[in-house]
Amino acid sequence: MICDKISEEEVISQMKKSVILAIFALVFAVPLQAQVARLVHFQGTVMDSTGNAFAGSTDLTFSIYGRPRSGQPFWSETHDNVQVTDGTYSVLLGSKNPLKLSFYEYFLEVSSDHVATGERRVMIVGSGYNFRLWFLFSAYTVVWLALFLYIFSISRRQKRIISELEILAEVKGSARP
Amino acid sequence: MMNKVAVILWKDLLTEIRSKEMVFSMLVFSLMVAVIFNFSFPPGSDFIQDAAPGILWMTFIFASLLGMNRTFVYEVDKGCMQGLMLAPIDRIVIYISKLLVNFIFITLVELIALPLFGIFFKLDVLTSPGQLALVMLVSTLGFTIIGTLFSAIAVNTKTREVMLPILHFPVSIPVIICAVQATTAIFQEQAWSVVWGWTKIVIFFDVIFFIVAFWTFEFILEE
Amino acid sequence: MPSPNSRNPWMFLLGASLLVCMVVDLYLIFEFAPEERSMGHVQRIFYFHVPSAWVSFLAFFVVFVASIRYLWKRERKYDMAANSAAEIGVLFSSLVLVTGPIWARPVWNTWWEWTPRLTLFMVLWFIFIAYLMLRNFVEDEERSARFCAVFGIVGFVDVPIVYMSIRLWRDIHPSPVIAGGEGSGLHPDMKIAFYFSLFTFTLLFVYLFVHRLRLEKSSVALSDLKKEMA
Repeated sequence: MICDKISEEEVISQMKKSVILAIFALVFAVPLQAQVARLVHFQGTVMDSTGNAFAGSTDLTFSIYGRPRSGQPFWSETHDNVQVTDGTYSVLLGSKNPLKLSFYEYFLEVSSDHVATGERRVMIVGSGYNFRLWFLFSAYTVVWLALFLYIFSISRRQKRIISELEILAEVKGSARP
Repeated sequence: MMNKVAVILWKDLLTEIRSKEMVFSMLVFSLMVAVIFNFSFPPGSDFIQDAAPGILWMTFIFASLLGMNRTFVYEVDKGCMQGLMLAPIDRIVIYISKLLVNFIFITLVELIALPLFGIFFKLDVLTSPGQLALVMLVSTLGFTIIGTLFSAIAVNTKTREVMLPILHFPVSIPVIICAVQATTAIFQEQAWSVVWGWTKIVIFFDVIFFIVAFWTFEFILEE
Repeated sequence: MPSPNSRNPWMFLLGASLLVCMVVDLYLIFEFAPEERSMGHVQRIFYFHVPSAWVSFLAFFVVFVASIRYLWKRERKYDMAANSAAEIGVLFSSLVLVTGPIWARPVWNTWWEWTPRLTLFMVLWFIFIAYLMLRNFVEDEERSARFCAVFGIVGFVDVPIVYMSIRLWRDIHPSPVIAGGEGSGLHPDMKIAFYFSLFTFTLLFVYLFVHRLRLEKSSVALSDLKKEMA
């Protein structure tokens, strides 16, 4: 025999390996997902029409854009009666409208009909969104899946060739008396 | 050696002069591509000027692949390959003469097509003819060096015409990038140092791959 | 080259250590390495993205060396090695091309960015694919081995020049570099995870390579037997 034999046990053992590692993948990925926060704490300042620090309560609309200027917002929510003291307020973004942004950098614009909120958009660096984990998880799945499929295909091809070799060897042996 | 190169070169030139097949088809093809590219832009748009160097080089490369596919087809199909290989010459002589043939034909096509491009794309192609000539020379040489080597491979495959571009494009990417960028710089009348920055990569490419081709060609034509 | 055998103790050792390394690597990647501050968990893609890139280069290098050896010595085993390595190279460069965009989407807000490295891998992938296509499109085995060897050498020599020209081409828009790039500014624990991952992937390459080579040998044996019987 020119080639080494590959036994069925080996194919099965390779499958077992794949299964074990796939289970590991799930075991590690699931708890990671639970740790993720979806609310963003945001503090800002507002002025009244005369340019002094505003005090009282007002309606504020928050919109998130992918660019520093122009464009369509990806997300927005309105907070009614936000309490402002000495021109400063704080809100939890994502409490009214679930925040599902996946981008690394995005730009927050605060607008109001009553008070001056400043023209410029504020850059926010986000992290730890649930959405992002899906990227990690899918990349991870693709990698292992590809590897296992490849190993599997090698062992299948090998098995087929070996069986063909055996048949041929038999035929050859019987043809020669 | 030069004599032997000249003999094969002359044979191929003579064949071409009689048939006019290669140059004529490349030329018609490049003009057609130039016209068709015009339709991919809104009429009267200015983008076309910015895109012109890219279109120019894409056209030249596609046309040259069309031509280079034919490099060894005659020899193989008409059984001349055996004759060529039995002749008392180094394999490398065959390579160099084929390289020169391709280079001459492609340059000829480029010289005819370039002014027509200038007219179609409303482009002043002669802002600095010396620089443009240098860029065209080294870039054409670059993809001819690779193309001649690979056409000897491709002619022996099942899917001849398809195989050459598939082998050729990924390898000639440096030439494509640099030729397009250098030509853009020339058309925008940028400083010589910018043009040279791109051109020297192509020259480097030419030198390296001429050496590689010189060494590997004999392994392709070996049976 | 001793024929790798499933009952060969070295093969068993290789498979077992690979399995152990993979499990440890998973632990290091997902638990041990700290979370990157600005990118969050998605940064962990880095631990298998970069090693895949490394393995692709390694595979390409094996193709290159085996091709030179083949042209020089004309022994079939070198051609088999080149073919096996090229196939594994396709696998890993595909993984680079898949995981790169998956990382770029949340971090750069785009699926595809023409960064020098990603572009280089696109080209590398095309060269590998062309290599395998060439192998399938030439009927005569000896001829296909020679052609592929020439193409493998040309392709490998091409890679640095491609990178040089792409770098210059994209220089106008400097691309954000992977957090920490090649180890710079990485947290020590991240470094441990990264280098261990690199090691595991190298081991994985060796494992896949040995198995692929065995397959190659059997298929050559089969075609030889068929020829002999015809």
